[in-house]
Amino acid sequence: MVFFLQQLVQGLAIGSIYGLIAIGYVLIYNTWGVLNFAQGDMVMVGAFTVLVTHSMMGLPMFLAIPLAILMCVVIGFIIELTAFRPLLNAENQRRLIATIGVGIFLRNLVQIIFGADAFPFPSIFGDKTMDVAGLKIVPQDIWNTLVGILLVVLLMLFLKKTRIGKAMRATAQDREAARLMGVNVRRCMSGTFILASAIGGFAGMLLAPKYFVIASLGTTFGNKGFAAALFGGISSNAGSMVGGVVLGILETLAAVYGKSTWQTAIAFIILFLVLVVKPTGLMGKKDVRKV
Amino acid sequence: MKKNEMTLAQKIYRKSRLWVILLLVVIFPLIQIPKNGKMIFLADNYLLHMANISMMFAILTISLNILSGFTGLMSVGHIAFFGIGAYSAAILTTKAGMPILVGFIAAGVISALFSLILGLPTMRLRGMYFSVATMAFGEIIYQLIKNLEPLTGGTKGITKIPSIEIFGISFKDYRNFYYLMLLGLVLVIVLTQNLKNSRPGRAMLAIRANDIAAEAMGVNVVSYKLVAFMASAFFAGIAGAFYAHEMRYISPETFASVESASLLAMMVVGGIGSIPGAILGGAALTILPEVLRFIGEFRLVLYGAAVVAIIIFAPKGLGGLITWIDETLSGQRAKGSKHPSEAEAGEEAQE
Amino acid sequence: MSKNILETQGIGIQFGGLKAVNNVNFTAGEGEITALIGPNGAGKTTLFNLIAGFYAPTAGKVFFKGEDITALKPYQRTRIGLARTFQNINLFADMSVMDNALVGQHCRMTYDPISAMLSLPSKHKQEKASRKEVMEMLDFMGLADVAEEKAGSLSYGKQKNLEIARAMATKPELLLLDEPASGLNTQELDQLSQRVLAMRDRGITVVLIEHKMDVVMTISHKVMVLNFGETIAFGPPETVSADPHVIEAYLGKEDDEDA
Repeated sequence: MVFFLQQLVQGLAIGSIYGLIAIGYVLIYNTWGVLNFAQGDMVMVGAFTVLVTHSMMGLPMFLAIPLAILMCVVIGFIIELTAFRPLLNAENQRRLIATIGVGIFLRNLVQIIFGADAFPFPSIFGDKTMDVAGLKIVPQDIWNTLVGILLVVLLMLFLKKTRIGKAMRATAQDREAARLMGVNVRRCMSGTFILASAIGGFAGMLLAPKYFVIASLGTTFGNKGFAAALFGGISSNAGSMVGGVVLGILETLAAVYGKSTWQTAIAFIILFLVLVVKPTGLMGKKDVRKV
Repeated sequence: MKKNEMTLAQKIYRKSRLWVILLLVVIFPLIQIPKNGKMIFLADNYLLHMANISMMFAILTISLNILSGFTGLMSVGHIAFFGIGAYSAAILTTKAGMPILVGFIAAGVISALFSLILGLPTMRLRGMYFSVATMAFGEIIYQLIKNLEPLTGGTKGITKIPSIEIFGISFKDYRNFYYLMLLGLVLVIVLTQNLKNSRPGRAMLAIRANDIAAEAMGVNVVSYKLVAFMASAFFAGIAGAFYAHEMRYISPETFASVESASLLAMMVVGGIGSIPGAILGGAALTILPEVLRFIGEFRLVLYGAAVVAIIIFAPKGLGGLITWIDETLSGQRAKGSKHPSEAEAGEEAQE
Repeated sequence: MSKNILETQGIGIQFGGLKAVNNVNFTAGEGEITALIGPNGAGKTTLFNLIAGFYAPTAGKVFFKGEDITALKPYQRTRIGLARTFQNINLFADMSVMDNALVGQHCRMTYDPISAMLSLPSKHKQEKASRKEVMEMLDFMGLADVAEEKAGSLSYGKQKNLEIARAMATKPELLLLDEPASGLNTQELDQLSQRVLAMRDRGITVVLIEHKMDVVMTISHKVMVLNFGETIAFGPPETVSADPHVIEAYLGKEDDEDA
């Protein structure tokens, strides 16, 4: 039982990060109507920015992280400006490939700058295990879970309560109607993209201490986050957190009770089944088709 | 349009264009140039190997086009069918000792069967949901290939795949293989072109353009998507068999899901739905990283940027460029005729 | 009175809580022209979608040639002779006019994908026959000279005609025309009326949704008026136009219909 709970805690910790990554996909998909295959690489970029500000520039964490987030914002804005905005009205297929192109670009650029080696990153919240009721818990795991969930709650409050958040939601729902209501649609779309980039980058920063910082980080975690987004329902922000957590737990359990080599396959087998049974995901709304 | 007023040059161009291209590709491996007083082949083994791989990717890109270009279903896991084909051929010829021809046919048929299994539950999914399902499928197949060691050899792959031999002629030599590959490519082009200009082909194109209207015209949308999917997987499997017998060694990394992305890039760079475009796209994106080798690691960065740039600045891809040149040379280009504006083609974003 | 080729029995559909179409008993006499009118949002196109099979009804049944077709999918209905056009043009924009119409011939050809790829004789034979048929249809709709042009590059009026030609190419016994006259100029409108009458003369039963009252009143045998998803009148044009309910619900507001 303790062992099982132990796995649950671990699954929860990784799952909340999956959820954060998933939200990036969801935000961009709902506003831009395209699946951003470069979102995973944005996660990787986030991990590297904090590597630069903390390990290389020697800034303390409380300065290093905000600066790293700022860097992600700038990078996100550049991507939006160069690869997304020009294709706003293009066919879906072309937009999808453009995001793949961006991913290849980012991954290899980082690899040229930093090399193919994996960089270790110090734990933000300390890495001594604590003993809580018989469970061995790494503080980082607790923090990741709490920060992940807190961020999602904040994000939802932001979207529901603030003026800018409401404008962003209006833009996501119906661009034309939002424009007519006086919303600055272009700015909202940029804003959403940048927000998604920052969240993705931040997820990367949370990952950095647990996994080495390496250029291929984005591919692995991007796919997981993406599976979580679909799993929870691509139309729902809260759904992606739920999807992430469920995926994280299932994956951890599968790795322990099954063969560990199958861990990566699990995410996709689940995803596949979800798509076949309920394409809109756990918490997605049914999409109605007009004829 | 003034179709009848063609100049003599335009007439000659139209009559001869295909034959000239065919002649050039046929004699390419035979051209000899003098070097150090001896005659040597212009195309060395490295160049021939590149040509073979390019043709193979051309088949693969055409096969993806049958699904994504014709019906508009975007597969983000197409490399899986290539892998299934390669492994089917390799396993049957090495472990089961089957003749190579059986391996080839099995490669296509087994791939098509997998597409049927994947297609039956997913054909009803629209747009992005289908893409994601194919991506999941690609990842699952990749993991299977990597982990089913007794069958696939795991990460070590399969070695000593026999080279092709027909009527005593060995195709181990890259130069001979070139002709076999060319024959395969031409066959695939002809079959695909025939399909495009036919009842099922038009039904597929109609589904891509407007599936609701297609259904209203009596097209069984789900079953034609499935037909396209199976044809697509069949050719991808055949391309896989070619790959296995050309390389004579296969390992899982070739079929990792990232490769599906470059396949999509080949299609889009070539121009979605365009067969000449698929050939050019396949060749360009095979050769580009090789040509760019001199700039070292920077080549993949440039590659990523080039893909984005082509998509932004050449909406119809290289295929569009070819059509434009072709129409201009043959005098078919109507004055002021423009492709339908981008805005019209897009806007299917909202799912 | 002639036999009814189409009949809906108490058909209805609910979207959420809204009854978009409620208990409608529509009939179309074989070889006749029947019109469907009503204010915007009255449920006319929804009724079309129910008849053509794009929506599954939440109540009632659809009969075509005496058979219950409620469970058939749209493509199956096209196969047995029920074709439709769309209010907002739904052409295959990137395909040629000819190819658009050839898609209409889809279910009148039978050869399979393998014969298509191998270019077997059955393909050539059927393609030849179909092209001839389609050409005749394009000619009928005044599109023969633009057969090789892209559908998306045609003028609005021609695109509307192609919608009809494509539906005609399916060789329907019953043709549902959804606002064929909207956006047409007076001359085109005249041609349209002539063509609809010519279709009837060829034995095709026509059902059309239309706002232009003069068109409706001159060519149709029967008119159904819908409002808020319910039938408020159904009968010959002269009876319907005299019906006080109709005048109140619809004709009084005729002027803002074109807006």
